[in-house]
Amino acid sequence: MTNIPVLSLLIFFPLIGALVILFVNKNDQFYDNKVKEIGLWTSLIVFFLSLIVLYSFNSTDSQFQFIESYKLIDDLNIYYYLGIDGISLSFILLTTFLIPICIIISWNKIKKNVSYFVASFLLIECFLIGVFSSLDLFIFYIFFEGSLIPLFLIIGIWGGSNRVYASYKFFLFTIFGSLIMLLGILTLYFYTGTSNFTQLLKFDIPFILQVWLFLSFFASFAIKIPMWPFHTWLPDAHVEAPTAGSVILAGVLLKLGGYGLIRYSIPLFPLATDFFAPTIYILSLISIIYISLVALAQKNIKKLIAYSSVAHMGFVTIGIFSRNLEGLHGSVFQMISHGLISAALFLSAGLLIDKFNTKNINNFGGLFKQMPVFSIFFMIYCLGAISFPGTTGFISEFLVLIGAFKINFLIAFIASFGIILSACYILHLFKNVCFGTNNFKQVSDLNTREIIIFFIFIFFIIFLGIYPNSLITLYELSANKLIV
Amino acid sequence: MLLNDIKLFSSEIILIICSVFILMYGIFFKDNSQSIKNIFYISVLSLILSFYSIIYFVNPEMSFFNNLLINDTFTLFFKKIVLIGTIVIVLISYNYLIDLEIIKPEFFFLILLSTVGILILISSRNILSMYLGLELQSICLYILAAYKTNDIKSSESGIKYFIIGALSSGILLYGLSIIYGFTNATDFYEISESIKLSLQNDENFLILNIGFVLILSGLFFKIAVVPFHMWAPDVYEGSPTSITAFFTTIPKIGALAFLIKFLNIPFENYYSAWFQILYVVSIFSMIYGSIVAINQSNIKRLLAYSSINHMGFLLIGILVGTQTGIKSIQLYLVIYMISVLGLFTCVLSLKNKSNELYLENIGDFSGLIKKNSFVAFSFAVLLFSIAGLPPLAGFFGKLYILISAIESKLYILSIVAILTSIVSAFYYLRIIKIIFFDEPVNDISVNTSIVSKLIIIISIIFSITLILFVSDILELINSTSILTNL
Repeated sequence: MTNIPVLSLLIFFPLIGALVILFVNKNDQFYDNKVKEIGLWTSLIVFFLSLIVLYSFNSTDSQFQFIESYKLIDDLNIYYYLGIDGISLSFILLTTFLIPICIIISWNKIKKNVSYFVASFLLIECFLIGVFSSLDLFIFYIFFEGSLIPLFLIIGIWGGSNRVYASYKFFLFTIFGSLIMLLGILTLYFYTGTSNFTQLLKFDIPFILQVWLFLSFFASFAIKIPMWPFHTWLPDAHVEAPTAGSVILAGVLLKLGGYGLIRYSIPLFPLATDFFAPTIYILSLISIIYISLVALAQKNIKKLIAYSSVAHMGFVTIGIFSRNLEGLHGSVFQMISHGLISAALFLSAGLLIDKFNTKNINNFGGLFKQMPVFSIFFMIYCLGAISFPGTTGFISEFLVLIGAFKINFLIAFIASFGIILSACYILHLFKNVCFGTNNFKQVSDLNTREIIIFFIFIFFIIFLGIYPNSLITLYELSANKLIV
Repeated sequence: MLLNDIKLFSSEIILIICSVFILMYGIFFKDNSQSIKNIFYISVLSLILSFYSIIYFVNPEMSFFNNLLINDTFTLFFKKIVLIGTIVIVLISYNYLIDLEIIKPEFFFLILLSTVGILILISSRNILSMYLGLELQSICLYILAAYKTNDIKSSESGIKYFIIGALSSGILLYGLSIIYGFTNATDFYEISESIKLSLQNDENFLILNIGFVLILSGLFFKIAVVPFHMWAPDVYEGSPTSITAFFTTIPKIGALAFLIKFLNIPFENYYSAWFQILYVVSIFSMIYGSIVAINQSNIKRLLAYSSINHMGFLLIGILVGTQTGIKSIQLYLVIYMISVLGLFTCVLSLKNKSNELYLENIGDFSGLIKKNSFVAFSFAVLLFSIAGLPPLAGFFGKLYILISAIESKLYILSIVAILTSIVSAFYYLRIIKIIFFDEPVNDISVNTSIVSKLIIIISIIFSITLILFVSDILELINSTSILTNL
């Protein structure tokens, strides 16, 4: 098993699929269907490949596994260096799980340039798996930045009415952060002479340099997470993106920031991490409280969920920077759980918007009578989002709060208000959508395909909520390495 | 001795003979499409032959014609790029000029002769031969800019280019005469020795400084960097599009190659002086080029401003004064040339269906994706590449320039470079937005000949797959980035 370059296969299989799709590209109903089938099968095969990786992954080994290393640029000592640990594997699984769903849910909705749409999603998959499995800073950067191109096109071509503004804002915000990170990467490279992550760990970088490097990396990751005050691109991007775009954006792309902090910032710059931790607690608390209040005032359903994402990601940063076992476990769990829950919420929101042609939550109402099945599913997602016991959201935020208590009582105290506020805005959303009276014509409930997709999400949300150890054992050892 | 000189000069000789032959052929034969076709074949063939002779007849590290010219690996590298670029220009010009009905034998004559000028400029090691090459190149370019004689904008651009170019040449010549007066030498290596001696004797450098600044101003005119950039947008907009493609790439490559050589050989001991000048010019070029380009509606003007930005970027590679810097410039220039030529080939394939005019206004590209997804896709790849997004080729160009800057600890310069490349990403994205997101406003007819399709495909494949062989290219460049020191 170790002789086969599994990770390269995972990365480049979607790319090959995308190329095939671009080659059979013809504007024709028949070809459009073929293209969707190719896309779906490619992503499903990648999903099964990732399951094989999961099966052969040894979670009792804290070292990087499935290592691949080829020299990419000779005189610069840059390697095509891949390897995964438990944390990366969790995110790879999340990615490969969400991409087929994205393709299925846009099956009948995307009418124009279908081949480009499917190819964009496969490209995103390629770049995202690349980000999660690369262990060389340059390769990481290439994949990290590359994921901008397809998402820019997804928002810009298939988005809503204000899509151009949103796609620009998304693109320019993110490229600003990433280019600053590139400067940091180059500086680090010239200080140490290598960009290999495992070798970089052996260097003791002086404190002042650490501070600058940490800031340059943080510029990129904070925008990606996104953290207050860098979050303003996210609501616009979510509102304008097509449903599948929102799902992948909330599900995986936001996690790149948290993943980057865990993988690179903390191990490489431990002194600077301690130095900046108080600042980041404050920013995270503002993210949680202020953004929750903002979410409470939203009328646009997608915007509300987008702001709730920002608030939930505040827990992630608190957990990461608490630097204790519970906090770190909790924040990784929170990222996976939020990847599932917010993806499911955006899925529901997209479905509602398609059915009722409005985004204003005050226009909905009484869906319990009209769409009982949907309402039940939606209720469970909402419970997940307010971290109700029995769902993944509870486990993760509980762990993060324990971690925060160990650092400082006040942080945990204030952060726990975030949970109450999340209950306020999510229940406000749920009440407006499902209760009350409606003034819509009769609409059909979920069809079988949608029920299956919705059920898969429910299954994982509740399964991981009841039996969290199945996930935690996967990344436990890898996360423990980060604790000092 | 003479025979050897001729052998080393063979690539230029081939081009000179062929260009004169083309002129004769044009005079003595009728102006019909067959003879134009023959001339086209002859010029392509002569460029290929010239390229071939560079590879097989010219050995590096040889001075010839009484030390007027030199061929080292550095100059040969740039000569090869220039010849390849010129072949592409001639190929894409042919259909375009036929379509505009302005094709004449003189066009090929001028292109070949200006290429000779550029080749001489690149290989010069004496201020006389350098000025000769520069003027030969410039005079041909003035005529080419005004080539579309029935178009008032083209004539305007020719006149403008001529007046400003002649002025800058005059300034350059004045500076050269001052340098000669100070050092009593015309050979680059002798100038270098003389300056070194004067530095040791701690002489008064006022006069040398004045001459040096004048020469640099003249050269900055030629590569169009701030504050000597004013002519570029107007000239680029007025000239026929295929000639604009020539302007943005080939003469700039020649002038940059010469600039590197000129600063590193005669003035190598004068590093601190030219470092400061280039630092300021580079920062202003990057900022000006990127900000002003935002509001342009004509694609040629936009590319003119973006080339000012790119030149500012390239100056970083020169001013670090290391071998890494020169290497990064070479890589960047190759990538830049291939992407820009691919872009111009795409632009040249678009026409308005109703009035049969070539599209130049960016707004007219709207909805191209619905018309022809191949050209739209190529636009996207090339623009993303020029904007410097990984994993496309342009990223590696920028990466290497930044590497050379950070290696020399020029942090402020690299931050400016990064901020301006964000701004320039904006206007490249604007073109992509118009092509992909907007609804079509007018009918576009897309006609790509096989040759231009091939050029576009090669440039796309290069942009996408460079990541796989960037290491090999760097290895090739490695030996060509060393300047000969006698």
